[in-house]
Amino acid sequence: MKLKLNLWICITVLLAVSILAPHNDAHVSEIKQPTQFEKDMAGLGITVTNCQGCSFDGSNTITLAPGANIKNVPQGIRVQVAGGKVDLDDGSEVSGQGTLTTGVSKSKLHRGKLKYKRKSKSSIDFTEAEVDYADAQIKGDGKIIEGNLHLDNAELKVGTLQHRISDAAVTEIHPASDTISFQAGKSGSALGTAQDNIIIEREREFLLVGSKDGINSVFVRAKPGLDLDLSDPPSFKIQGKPTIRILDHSNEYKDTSVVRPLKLNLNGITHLVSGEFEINKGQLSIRAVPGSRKIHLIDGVNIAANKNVNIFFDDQPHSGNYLSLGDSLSAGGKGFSIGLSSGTKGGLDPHIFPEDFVLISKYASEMEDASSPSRLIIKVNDGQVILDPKVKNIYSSGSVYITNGINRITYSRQNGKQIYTNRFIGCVAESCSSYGYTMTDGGLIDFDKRIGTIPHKNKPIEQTLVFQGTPLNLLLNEENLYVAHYTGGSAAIGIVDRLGYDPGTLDSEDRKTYNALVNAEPGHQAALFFVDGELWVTEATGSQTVVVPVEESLFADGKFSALFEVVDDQGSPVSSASALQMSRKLAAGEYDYDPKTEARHCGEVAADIATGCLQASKGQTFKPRVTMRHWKGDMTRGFIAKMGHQKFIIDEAPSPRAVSESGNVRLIAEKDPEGQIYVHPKVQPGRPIGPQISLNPSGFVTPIN
Amino acid sequence: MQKRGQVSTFVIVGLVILLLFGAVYFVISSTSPETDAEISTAPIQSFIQDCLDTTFKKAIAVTSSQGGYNHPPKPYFTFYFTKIPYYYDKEPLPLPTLSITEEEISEYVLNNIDFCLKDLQQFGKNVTIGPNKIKTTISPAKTTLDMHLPVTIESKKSKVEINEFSTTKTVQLGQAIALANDIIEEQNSFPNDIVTSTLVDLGEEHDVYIDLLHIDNTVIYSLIYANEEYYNDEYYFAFAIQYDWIK
Repeated sequence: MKLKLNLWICITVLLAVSILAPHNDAHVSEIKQPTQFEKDMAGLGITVTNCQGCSFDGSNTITLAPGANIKNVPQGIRVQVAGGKVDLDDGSEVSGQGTLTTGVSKSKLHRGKLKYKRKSKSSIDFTEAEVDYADAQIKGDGKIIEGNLHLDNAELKVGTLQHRISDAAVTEIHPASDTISFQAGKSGSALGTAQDNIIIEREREFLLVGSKDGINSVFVRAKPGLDLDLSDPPSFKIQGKPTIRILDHSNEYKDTSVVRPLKLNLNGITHLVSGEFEINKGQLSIRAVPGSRKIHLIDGVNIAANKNVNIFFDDQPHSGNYLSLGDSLSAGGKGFSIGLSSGTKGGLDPHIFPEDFVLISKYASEMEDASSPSRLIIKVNDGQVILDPKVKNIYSSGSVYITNGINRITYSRQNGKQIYTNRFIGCVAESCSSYGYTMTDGGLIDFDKRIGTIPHKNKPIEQTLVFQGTPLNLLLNEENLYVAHYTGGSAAIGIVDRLGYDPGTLDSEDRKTYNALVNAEPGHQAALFFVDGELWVTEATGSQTVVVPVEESLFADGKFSALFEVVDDQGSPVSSASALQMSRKLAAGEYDYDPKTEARHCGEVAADIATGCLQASKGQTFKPRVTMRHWKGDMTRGFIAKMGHQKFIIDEAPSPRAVSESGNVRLIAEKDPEGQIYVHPKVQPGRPIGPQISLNPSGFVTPIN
Repeated sequence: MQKRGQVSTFVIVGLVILLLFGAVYFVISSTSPETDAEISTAPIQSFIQDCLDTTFKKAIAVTSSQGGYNHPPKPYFTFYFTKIPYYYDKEPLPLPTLSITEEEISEYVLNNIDFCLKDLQQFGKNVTIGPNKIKTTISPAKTTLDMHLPVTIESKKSKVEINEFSTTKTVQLGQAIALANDIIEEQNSFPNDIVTSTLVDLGEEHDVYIDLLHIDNTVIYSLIYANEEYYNDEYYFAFAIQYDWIK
């Protein structure tokens, strides 16, 4: 019985063992011989795991299957990763859908993913690959050389920082601050796409900093090994419409205490800048740092801003906070100030511009009798200003504060009317002189005398004049005196011939220049003024001086080339009240532009009337002067002409050019020989009458058809 | 006989003495202003009128240059020899009314006309002047002064009295005072600024040139009118405003 029980126990145990261990029985039963792949891999010393479906072409290409893993891959092997994984000798891993080629000194990865073990100091090139490098994720082309990452053209991401970078070596990664240090490559680093980017100079060390708002910032360090004072401030080149911030470099680049500006090449034009700027899809703006008192500089214009200010270089007004630079300076918006100086010494204002300026402003030429550099501070506070250095006027509307030298004028609108007040603010700085600007907004402020003067009456009258075939609607002032000229004609030929051209001996090139000069030379001129609302012309016609309506003058049939407003020495318009009387006196005069006669020249007639009106209303004399600013002759003759302005003063009578380039006239409308049309903002129809400024201060308008 | 001769001598001597007295009397009487002829008052009246015109013109000039006062009350700004009253210092200060300025002009004339009236002595001791009374009236375009000055001219046979004198100046004093009031009223809107645009508007409206002279925190406002009767063809009225610009 006991034996029988033991037998049953043995049988039960055997059964249990057999039941519990079928697997082992199967394994033992399914052991097979190594495959050719495995033999090949073993032959190469490669360890494979889960490599069902892997293949080897017999020469040097291994194709992995998804989930397969190989390691100990020798040099000279190409691995199609294909969802498998390659463990590199340095501990790095390659996965994804790429091709890894192991090399003698470095490997190459095309596409796929590389998880790089930085401590290994191994080298690998990668193209179109995703690379995990320290705390950074890279996607694109680049290389790791002995542990150092160089991006040829790749997207890089660290925390919030994400940017496309070309030709830059990563020198340090600070994940805590989303900051990466780079060394620009030999072709300079491009931050952005091929079309839209900012280029850092070659071999400069720079930082890229991420931000939660997705706009990264760049900062270029001073060159290592040099004192900061000796290190050149960097230059940035903007191409296309990138988005990036340029951090404030003013503490990095200083000459003693004076900040040295950076160069910002914006689509081909270089600007000198300092402070913090943002380029958003190509739009340059000053990035305000509220409460920081940071001063931003662009081309000699200093800006203190509590809000971002868009910067334009098109001479056009814009909406929002803007600063537009060109021949004139216009600004509008709220909450920022502009500081200009003819010098750099002395803080302009202890609150707004406490420090020395970096650059002299082109909008702030110093007055002749100034005892110190001048200062001009404009604060827009829901207002607009246009500063026109050419005519030395500042137009303003809305709420604007203007400090000129030791005075401050405040513009504001109350009950629909522009109010302006003035106060003495003194000056403790070294730059305290005033500019010779006239403040214009319907009234005039004489800043030098610190008085408000009675404005010249504004009686707008709309007038259409035809400029070389192009009709222009102009808002003229019935009270003002104007002069006009047209270019070309026999008188222009006579004047150009005086510069030494002999039309009979000119070769084709000289003939071309000669013709261009004749076409650009004012050949006829006249004085214009309103009589009972109608525009009349006093002109020398070739045989006599006449006073006729404009349509009966030599300017009929659309011959106007340029129209000027006669102004006094301070730039204020001159009353035409005496013009008619003067004209009648002159109307019997004979005419001849031959300099050897004593007859009256057309320019002389215009100048005489201008003088008469100036003397009657201002006690001043019209001063004909040739500046040659539009002279486009050949260099030699141009030099002669500049040296001998008398060429344009004929027997002490001014030529049309001498009148048109006088400081006592202001250009208000022109169609030049190239067909470019200019209309001064103040005479553009549609401009609100009175203390308003035009919304189109550049003066460039589309002519009416 | 000898006695008769003595009498004749006495008679002759007496006649000579008589003739001498007569001659002396004739000479004296012929050089004395006291004649029996009618007294001519025209030169004296003309003299007094000229004196009054001159003094009145000065009175207007002085009071105008001192904001309508002959003796400006404090506070005022001393500018050379003039005291220019402040019309505004953070808030409007009392401005002179027309009647005050009228009284100030009268006072000036009263106090100063004697400087030239004393030269009346040239007309002789028989010209006497009594206490004068002066009344000034300011209107927008002119200012008139009426003076009651008893002037007595006596001779042996007659006695003439001149009492009433009057002079009028075409001057914008009344307008200036009104304009100054307007400026001060506008000043309330910008207590610490020169209300330049308002000045420009007012200047144009009233055909007056407004000149501002700035000395520290004081600005002297001069309202300058074209007026051929005054120096350089300009009549001006001045007042001052105190600002709080420089600490």
